[in-house]
Parts: sequence; structure tokens; C-alpha cells
Amino acid sequence: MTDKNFQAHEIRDKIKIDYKYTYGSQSKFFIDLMSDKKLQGTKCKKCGKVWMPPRVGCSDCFEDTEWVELPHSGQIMVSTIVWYTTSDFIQKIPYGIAFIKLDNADTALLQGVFSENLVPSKIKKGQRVKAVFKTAADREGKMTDFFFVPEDEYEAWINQEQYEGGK
Amino acid sequence: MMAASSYVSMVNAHYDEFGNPTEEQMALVSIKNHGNAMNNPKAQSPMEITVQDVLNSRIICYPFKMLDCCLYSEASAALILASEEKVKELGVDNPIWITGVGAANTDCFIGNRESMGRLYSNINAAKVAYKMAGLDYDNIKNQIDLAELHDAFSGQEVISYEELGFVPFGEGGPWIENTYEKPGMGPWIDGELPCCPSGGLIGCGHAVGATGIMSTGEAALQLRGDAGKHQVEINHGRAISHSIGGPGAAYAAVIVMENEEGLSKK
Repeated sequence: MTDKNFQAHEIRDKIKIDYKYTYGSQSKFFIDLMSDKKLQGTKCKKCGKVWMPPRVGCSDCFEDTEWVELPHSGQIMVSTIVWYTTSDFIQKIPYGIAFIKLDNADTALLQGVFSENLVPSKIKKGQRVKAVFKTAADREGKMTDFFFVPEDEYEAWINQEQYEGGK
Repeated sequence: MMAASSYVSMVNAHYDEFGNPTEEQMALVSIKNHGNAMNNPKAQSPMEITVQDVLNSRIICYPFKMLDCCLYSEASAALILASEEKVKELGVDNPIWITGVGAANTDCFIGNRESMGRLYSNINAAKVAYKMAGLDYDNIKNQIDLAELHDAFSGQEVISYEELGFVPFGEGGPWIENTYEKPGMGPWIDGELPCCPSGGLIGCGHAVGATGIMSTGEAALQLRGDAGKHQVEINHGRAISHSIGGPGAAYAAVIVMENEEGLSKK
């Protein structure tokens, strides 16, 4: 390769890969989200701590947990507005993301927060938010099946054709 | 979640609790580290900039702007480590001794943390390292000559001042702001405790995986008096390097290094 006249010959080609993966023991969260718009957390059988996102085992005392359905409302613990992101989400900037503690949960979920008036003060700590879901036809059993909006904007969001409220 | 939005969550939670770091205070970290890099020939991002330049740079995720963020980089760094016996056998001139090592983890998922505005891994790693070296967490600022910190984002450096024991909790932002252009004070290159005299990750570029080695090597160069144009004054003969990694910046390491003079002073 030390030859000065060396020239690499390049061929442009494509690789197509179909693959699937599972959410393992957390599958129930995604199945119930997709089918019933339920937000399922887990509760430690020993210490009673409620985990959202759900944990199969309690990270505090290492005991088993059991599924527990949580309300669709909660409050923002901390947030930011994203202006630069990966290719999957770049079309949607700017959007809010926040760690949200659902009522009855002890830990906070990371999820998108949308607002008609997206300014930092609108999604600051303590802001009450409520979950809005894609319609059944659009839900795929992924985190992007739902997002949160400030409580006072909830009705306006679920009245849009492509979204709906929970039960 | 990108690294920037992960770190910004911690910085915003700190702001909610203490009212700092402000955007201007974070901009001062950017000025300091890009500025320090001007004197480091190996740095990727040497820049002479103003607070306004930082505030005007493109927003990444509120309130981080582009100049608050390090550049992801490709580079390598290396250290040569040897046992005390080997150093003596080889007759190494001016060795730098690792006298304290601390490493700690916290919840990887930020949503699990009871206090999102601080990294307990930083606090615990620092305390373990200082204790091993016979230093005092509450007086560390007066026991070391410099600190090479993990300033992947300007706001994170401000919080690290507190977690590593340089200033009390909630006083990181005011520390850099109130000491700006006041020689002999604060984290500036001519300050009471220069932080990232090399330019840090913001000034040097962040070669993920190699930066902890870079920071440690930089601190060793300083203690040897070999840091060239970004050499700081060495009085205690002692320095620390600090690095963070992992999801949610959960893992932290702090290393205390001393030259022969530093060892003899204890």
C-alpha cells in the first residue's frame, strides 16, 4: 500500500436489513399503551416504590415488582427545549422534553412535551401536564405513541383529528 | 436523548434549586476554556470570544448554545503508569504520583434521582479520592494548584465546582461571575484555583473515551512544569483531574496527583 500510484476502486452499493427486537419483560407497557392507552408502571412488592418507567426489579431493594396502572396526569420535574437532535426527530424541532412524575409514581418518565406556546416558562418545574395519544391507527407500541401537554391545553390537543385523549 | 439534553436537565434542575448558573455565567466558562485553549497548541477550539458571542451562538437545547458545548472529536491520549518500585528502578526524573483515586456511580436514569440538580457520583468520587490522598473535601480549594474538569458543557463545569468541593452548593455560578477579570481569584487561569487551564473539553475537543486520560495527562504536565504557554503557578505541588461518563453522566472519577514537592509538604 506504499505504492504512490495506488488507487482504491469504489463501488456504490446498498445494504438492506430487516430486523426486529423485543422490549422483553417491559413489553406489557408498550402493548397496553398501544391497545388501551394505559400507562403501566410497576410497584415493588417489598418497599412499595412505584417505578415509571417500569422496572421489572426494584432498583432500591432488588425485589420483584408488580404492574400498576398510573394516571395520565403528572407534573414536570425538569425540562428543556430541543433545537438540535438526531435525524429521527430533527423535523419536529423545536420541541420540549421533560422528566415528568405521574401522579402516584415515585420516579420520573422522560417524554416529549408539546405546547401551542412553547417557551421555557410554559414547561417549567411544577407545570401540570396530561398525556395525549396518537389515534389507534397510528399507535405502534412505541414511546412516540404519546406525549404530554400543559393541562390547560389538553382539550385543544385532543380535539385535533390525529390525536385523542386517554380513557 | 442527546448528551446535551441529558446534561442540560441537570443544569436546569440546579437552576431551579439555586437560581444559577445563569446563561451569562455559563458563557463565562465558555470564554475561559476557549480562551485557555489559545495557549494550548494541541487544542481543537481555541477562541477569543465574548459573553455576547456565546449568547448569540446557535441554540442547541435551552439554555445551552453551541459555544456552551464541547466539540465531539477524534483523538488519542496516553499515560505511562508504573509502580513505585519501577519508578525508582528506572530512576525516572520528576515522576508524578497518583495519591488518590475515587470512582462512583449514581442512578443512570435521571428520572430516578431524587435530586436531579446534582451528581452524587461526583461528590462521592471526590471525597474518596481526597481522603485517600489525605486531603480535606471542605478545604480542597486551598490544597491543590489546578483542576482539569469534565466540562463537556459549560453549565456542568459550574456544578462541578460545587460537587468537587471548591465552593458551597449553589455558589458555583456566582464564583465564576464575581471573579471575572479579577486576577488571583476564581477558576480563571490566573485565579486561586485554575480550572481547565488546558482549555478542557470545550477548548480541546471531546475525544470521548480519551478525555479522562487527556485531563489526567494535562494535570501531570502542569505539576512537572511542562505545560508550556498554559502553565499555571504550582505552589502545593498537587492537582486533580475529573471525568464523567455513562448514560445520564452517572459515572464519575477523580484522581489526585502530586509531584515530589507536593508529597514532601504533607
